[in-house]
Amino acid sequence: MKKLIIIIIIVLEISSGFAQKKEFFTTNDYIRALKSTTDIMINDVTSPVAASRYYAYICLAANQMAALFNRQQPDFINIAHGLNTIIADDSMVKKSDPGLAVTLSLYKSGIKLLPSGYLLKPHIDSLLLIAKSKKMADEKIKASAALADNVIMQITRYASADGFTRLSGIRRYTPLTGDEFWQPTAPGFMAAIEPYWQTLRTFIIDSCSQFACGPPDPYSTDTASAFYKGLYEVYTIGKNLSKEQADIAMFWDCNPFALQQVGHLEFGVKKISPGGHWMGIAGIACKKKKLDIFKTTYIHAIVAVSLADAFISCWYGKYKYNRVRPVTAINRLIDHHWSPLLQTPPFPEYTSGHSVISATASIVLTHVLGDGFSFTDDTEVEFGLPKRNFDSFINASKEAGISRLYGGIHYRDAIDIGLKEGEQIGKFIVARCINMQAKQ
Amino acid sequence: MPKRFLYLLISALYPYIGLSQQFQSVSFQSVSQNESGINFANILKETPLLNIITYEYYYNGGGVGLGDFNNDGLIDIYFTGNMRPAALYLNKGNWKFEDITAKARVGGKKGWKTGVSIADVNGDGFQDIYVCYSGPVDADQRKNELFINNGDLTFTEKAEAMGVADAGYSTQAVFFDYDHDNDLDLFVINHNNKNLRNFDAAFVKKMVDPDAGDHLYRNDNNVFTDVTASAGIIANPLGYGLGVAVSDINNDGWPDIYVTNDYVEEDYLYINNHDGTFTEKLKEELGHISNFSMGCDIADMNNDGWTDIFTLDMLPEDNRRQKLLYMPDNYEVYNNQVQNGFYHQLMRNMLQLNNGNGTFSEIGELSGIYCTDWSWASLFADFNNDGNKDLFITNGYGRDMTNRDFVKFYANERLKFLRGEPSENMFRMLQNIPVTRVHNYLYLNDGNMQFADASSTAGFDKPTLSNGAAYADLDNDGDLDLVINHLNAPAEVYRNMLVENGNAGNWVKLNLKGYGKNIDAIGAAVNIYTPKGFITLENTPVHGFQSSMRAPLLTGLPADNIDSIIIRWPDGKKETVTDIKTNTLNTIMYKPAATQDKQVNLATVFHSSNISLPYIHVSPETNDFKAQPLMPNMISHNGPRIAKADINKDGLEDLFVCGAQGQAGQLFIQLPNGNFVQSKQPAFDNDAASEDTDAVFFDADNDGDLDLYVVSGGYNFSIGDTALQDRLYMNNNGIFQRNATALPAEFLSGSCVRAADIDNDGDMDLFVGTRVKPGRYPESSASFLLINNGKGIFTNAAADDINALDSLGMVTDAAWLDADKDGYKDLVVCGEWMKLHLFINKKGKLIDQSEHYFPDALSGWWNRLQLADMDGDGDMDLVAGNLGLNCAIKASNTEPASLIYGDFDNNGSVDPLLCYYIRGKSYPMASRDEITDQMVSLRQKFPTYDSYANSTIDDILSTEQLQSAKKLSANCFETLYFENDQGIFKAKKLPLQANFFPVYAISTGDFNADGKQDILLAGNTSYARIKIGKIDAGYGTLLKGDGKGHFEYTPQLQSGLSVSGCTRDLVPIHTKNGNQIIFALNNLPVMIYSY
Repeated sequence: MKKLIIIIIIVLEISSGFAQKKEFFTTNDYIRALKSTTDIMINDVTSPVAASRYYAYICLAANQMAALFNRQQPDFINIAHGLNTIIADDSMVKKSDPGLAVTLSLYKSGIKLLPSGYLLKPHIDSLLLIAKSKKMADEKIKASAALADNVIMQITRYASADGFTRLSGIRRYTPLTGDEFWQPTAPGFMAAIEPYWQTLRTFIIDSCSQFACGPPDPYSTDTASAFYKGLYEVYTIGKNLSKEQADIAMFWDCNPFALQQVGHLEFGVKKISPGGHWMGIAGIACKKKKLDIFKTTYIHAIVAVSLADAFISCWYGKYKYNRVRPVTAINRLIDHHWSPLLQTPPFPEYTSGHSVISATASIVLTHVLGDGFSFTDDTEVEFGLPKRNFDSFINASKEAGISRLYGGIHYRDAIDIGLKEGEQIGKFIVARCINMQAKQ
Repeated sequence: MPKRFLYLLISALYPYIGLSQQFQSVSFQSVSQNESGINFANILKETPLLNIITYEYYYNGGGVGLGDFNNDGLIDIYFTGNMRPAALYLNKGNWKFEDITAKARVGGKKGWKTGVSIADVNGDGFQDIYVCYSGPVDADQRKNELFINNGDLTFTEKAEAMGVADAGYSTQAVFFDYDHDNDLDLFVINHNNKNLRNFDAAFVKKMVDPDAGDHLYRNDNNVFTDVTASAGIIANPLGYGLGVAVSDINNDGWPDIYVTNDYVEEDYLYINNHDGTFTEKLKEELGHISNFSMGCDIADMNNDGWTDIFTLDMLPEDNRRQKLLYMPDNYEVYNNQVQNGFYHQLMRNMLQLNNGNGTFSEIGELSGIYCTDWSWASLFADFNNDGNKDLFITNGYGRDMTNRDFVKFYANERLKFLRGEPSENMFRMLQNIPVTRVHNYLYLNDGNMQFADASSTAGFDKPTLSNGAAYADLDNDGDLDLVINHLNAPAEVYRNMLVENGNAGNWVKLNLKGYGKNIDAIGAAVNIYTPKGFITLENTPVHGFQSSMRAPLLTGLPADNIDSIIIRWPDGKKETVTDIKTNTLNTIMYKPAATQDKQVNLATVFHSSNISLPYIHVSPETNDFKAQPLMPNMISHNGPRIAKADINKDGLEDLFVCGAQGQAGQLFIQLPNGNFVQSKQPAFDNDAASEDTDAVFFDADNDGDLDLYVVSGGYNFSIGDTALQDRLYMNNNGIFQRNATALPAEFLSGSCVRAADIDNDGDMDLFVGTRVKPGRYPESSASFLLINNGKGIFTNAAADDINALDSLGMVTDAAWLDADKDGYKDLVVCGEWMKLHLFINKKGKLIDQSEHYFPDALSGWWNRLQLADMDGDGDMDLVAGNLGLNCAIKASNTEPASLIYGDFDNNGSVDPLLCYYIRGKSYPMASRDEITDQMVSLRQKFPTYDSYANSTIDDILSTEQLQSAKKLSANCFETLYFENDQGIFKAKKLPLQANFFPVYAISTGDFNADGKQDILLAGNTSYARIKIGKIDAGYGTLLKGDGKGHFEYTPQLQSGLSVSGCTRDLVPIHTKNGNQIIFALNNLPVMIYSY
């Protein structure tokens, strides 16, 4: 069975991989490899924050690998906090194939980091068989694999010091008492996701609070208050949703586990996470621009670490302000029976995570690929949603933001302020990246 | 048989556990279709429009109705099928049946048939058939049907005409006479067809949903009127009624009702008010209930004259299926649910033992009948003719869809793979979920509230899907046969082979003939008195699930003859009959005695006291599982203990009640009239931040008055928290002032303090027990001795003298006694995951001689010790309180419970992995999600639930982790009496009731004034992991002593005790108004009884 899977993968990969002849492995291979790590995260129901962390280390591993081969490759040393120079034997690098080593580093870091990473093993087997079938020398294959192991070892050591392993040892979170604070929401009433995420080491931004947003509109039951008006807006928009608005909400839902309950029958319908969606957009853009594997590797790495930082920054605000979700407040104050179009994610409302991270990603992508970059986003097709066209990354991010209002899971101020927060993070990272490239 | 052998072997090795009862063996044989002529099969064909997604009770199956429809003395069989016509089989005798459905016209209409209730509804002497309808269909198709027997084996449907065509989503109906007007009224249980998940409980509970709510119909001359609302019956949209049983629960002569509800809505216990109304009293009388309650039964399973309630749930028996199906514990969600107006609900079968005083003790885990997988029908009946009601349970489910891998991985995979219409996808996905076939269970009752699994020896080892079931003596040979309605397989008739195998024993069959329109005397209760014991029966036809059995009462007998029987007829009048013949059918006509026996007013040992002690323990809302999600029980919420002494020398005992975290301890002065008033003590208020775990009054500074030492402990503190410092308060003419310099600094979480003059220098020294390092269960600190310099200044005893105390463990209690009679006080210590220890005091140096003094070497979760001379031989005996036996976690020498702990993933927190035996092998209690959330690195090892489901601790931890792991072990969870036998403490069993609950408080004394020492036990726990759950079967347990070291349980009705909640101390006090006993309750006011 396992062999059969490998053969199927090979057939698929060979049939689509003949575009470039000089390079054994190309941008397409990179994107395919990264997508298989996405698939594992979907399978494992990895939370959006955890997914952003995995993407960051996986893509960083590939970039640092690429930097061993390519002097022009921007290197995250001195940019990413705590990252040390990758130590690799020059002779090993010379004996290795860059495309294979980079692609392998995606898979191998996935195996090391992801809970069900073992599911990536057949992909590696097939990749090596493809290398063989393309007549890559055995020695080169072996050297590339060994080099990848070496780099992954160093990157996972780097990852292990970011505070993540400590999180499970911290006292579990207790929702705060008070109508203004977040409470678990239907249908799953799940515990708060990653309440201590802001304690993780950031990659590029100085700290979780560097771009801290101000407080949201204060909770109030006064119908004239800003909060109540915002609440009522969520309710009325939800009640009068147009098809276009509903389509937008569904497109950007990015819920890793939409719980379905029918009596005792219960299961989750899985989708890509918000970060995974933007990694997908990065891939679409790289393909459209026909970038080589080195540039592709860099763009994915910078987007991934930016997303990770944006999540850390956003999570700082979420648990600092701990604002109640619309569904809780609407059921209490306006309508017992109202429920949002989208399932409410299990963490505090303010600011909107999708807004923050989308804004950050769009700023970074605009910086590396240019403004007015139009693209067709087909990342959600496999989840039964249509493609959508965008004329720029920024506009896509704005749509991602407002989709949360249509979906009934965020107030407008959390989106507006979230987009601003994300933009600032993006701009800061871009400024640092200019430094990084200038050094070369 | 091998299992039984193992059991005997264990009993032999370990004399404290094991039943002596020998069971009368029983076996059943399935009668072949060819022989019986019964070919009914409830076959379901899933379609995209009708399946478990479109109708959530799709797999609930059909029922069985037994009754003698032609009055020929042979019980006939009626089956309901969901999508097919019902079928009536006429019993022709000799295991031959004839399908007369068509002639009889009882096949029913199109629609989804569920329960069947057999009764002579119109009182014409012929049994009628009431059929319930449900399903995702129009209201018209859901109207229930009533087939009135024309007396010639034809029937006429008259539901509409008689007013009982209930159009709700009905599961079952029961006929009974709730208003004593001698006709049969009707109660119908319904269920919601929609999913209610996102709701405000207080709001929804007030709503009325005629389709989901239950209904009561009053019969007036064969016309029924819906009296649901006026009678006080709940009919809210959260009703998911799956089971109903009627019984006179409080023995007042009026029928009461129990309804089980699936999901979040609690079950209902309706007590009959004698005026046509009912009062729902579940939360008052039951401590906790099944979560996804399904079928139920009510019967007096221990023959004490009070009917007990049993409800079924979905907990599988074996570890693997538990791991695959059990939802992760979420204490917070559970707690929110309770606060939101629902109730304590746990996913397992519950056996509610009726204490007769309006309280029930849930003892399913002690009885051994708490996990029978996805279960439908439960039937208490005497299947082996020994006079004890055994228990038959059907189970099985059409699709194994609570499987966690399905929920998390499989469903989405399949849905993604399948293309096309969403509903079509879902349907095709469903068809790939495996079927859960499980064997039915037959448990034999040992006569002492415990049951032995006889499923396989009795012939029920075949995995099936079984729903409704019913029993009756189909061949009139004197034993109870069974009829089972399977799903997607032919129904089966099981022939009881007792008679055929020559071990029928003695039995009696009773046919009760009432008057008026309740001609079958439905609701009558029978007490059968034999020379070897007493048996009770109730004449109620509806039991189990969607089924009813209208047949003569049948029970085996423990003796050859019957002295007499007393019948309480449905109208409450009594009749004594003495000429009952055994081993045959006796028909008894309604002839109650003219004079009724008068109510005997039982004198109880204890009475509610008038003494006032205005104290309420207020424990802060802390959740220890937030710090250590894998620990079994919270350590917080364990107070209060009480210290007593005459502190103002007025000859009256005064009290110090320990305060919870954030609550100051309080001093109460006894007034001459026996009441207590608080004496304000600012020094105590200053130390409110501490949690007082124990206290002792003693004269610290030899000035002739009593000072106070208070132990600070608890769990919800940081390590080294100054609030953990113990405190010494000096008595200054009744004003207590803290001497902050009298004690060495220590910031340990203490548990107990006991004073004694350890070094015989004329002043009082102290032993202080410590329990847990806050946040680091089960790590403990060293317990210690404080040596008094004679002026009330204490120093730590020389390390040399007490090094035996260093690694004692989590100490909970201690006591001083002179065990070796050398004039120096020796120390007994107990604790959690500890053996009982005895340290001999060699002139101030403590030497561990536990092995000598406690040769049984019993390690348990000991909570409490009490020394007293129970057998009057002049030496101190010991009562030791333990976890008890009413818990899924059991322990023995051969199958110990264990706790493996360490910081296995280097995240800085201690991971305590509790393991215990399930069917012969030790497994960790933690589910996959629980363990991988705590030890994230394990996610890679166990990517699926299946990969974890069989794992033992050796599979979970690496060799290095296992080597670095620490281990605690327990081989005994029984609360025991240790008799001092020439200086050696030898374990002796106490009555089973002593082990209904974790014992946290013990008092000894002559409570019933017979000159002999008795034992009073109290405890319970309510802050356990959900998997363990609330254990609340104790209401204050009095064990009457015979002065020779034997004890007998005094029923609650006779003891007079009815203490709900978690008792943490029992303090006897003397007042001018007589003896009082104080129950110190956690998070509640104290309760006081006088005796």
